[in-house]
Amino acid sequence: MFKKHFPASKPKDEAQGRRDPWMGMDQFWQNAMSPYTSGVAPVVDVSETETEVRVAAELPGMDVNDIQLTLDQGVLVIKGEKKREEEHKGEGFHRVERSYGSFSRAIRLPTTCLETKVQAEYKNGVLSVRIPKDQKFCARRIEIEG
Amino acid sequence: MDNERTQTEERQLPQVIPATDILEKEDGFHIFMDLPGVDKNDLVIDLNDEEISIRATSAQKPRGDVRFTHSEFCSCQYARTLTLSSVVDRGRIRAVLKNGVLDLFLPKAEEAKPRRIEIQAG
Repeated sequence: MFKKHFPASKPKDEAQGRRDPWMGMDQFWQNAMSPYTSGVAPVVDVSETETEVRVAAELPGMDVNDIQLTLDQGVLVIKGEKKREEEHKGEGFHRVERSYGSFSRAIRLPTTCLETKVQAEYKNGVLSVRIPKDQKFCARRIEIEG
Repeated sequence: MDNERTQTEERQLPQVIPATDILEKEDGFHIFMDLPGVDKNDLVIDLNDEEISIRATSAQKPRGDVRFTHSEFCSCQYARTLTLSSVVDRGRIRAVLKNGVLDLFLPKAEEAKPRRIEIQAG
């Protein structure tokens, strides 16, 4: 975003071997402006094998009952609310680096899947979702006649 | 791209400083550390003279024919060292790992707890 407005800054910095001062800015704005996330959205990985799509999200310290998972028309939505381990008001915190509160994140699946056969597991603070691909839409070789 | 990543992972996992909350209460210090993907067996807590160091490895991803279309986190090594206050009773430190969060309790020694001093009539 910023690079666009300061096109001269990048080659000069690279020539001098300096760190690009705008590095990370694009990502920052992308996250801040994204319509697909709200609250402190969890980080996700999306991967696929030949037969299924896998989505993994880091959600440390959640209760399974506080995670809501919906899949509708190829968009998987992870919603939830993270509560504090210990309710404590006022002073006493030396450091607060972790985040709390509600969040939601939407992920578009890379291919058409069988939405009724979703498997989800929550283990060690990581949510893993597996959705089988719809074989009708998978890549296949087409025989040529003639 | 995927090949490059796999090779890097085998050589050395990226180091991550886990997000930590430290809360001081009358009975001691409650420390909460986010360690998503870490199993109890992959967590090591070392207590030295003045420091407590936490090291952990998050579970490896299944190898094989998996193609990543989008990746924001990967297997990593968590490491963080905290300086212990002299009021901590080292013998009673308690650690619980649940749902990817390490809950460390560092109790204060009895003599360090706040107490009211009785005033005797002179």
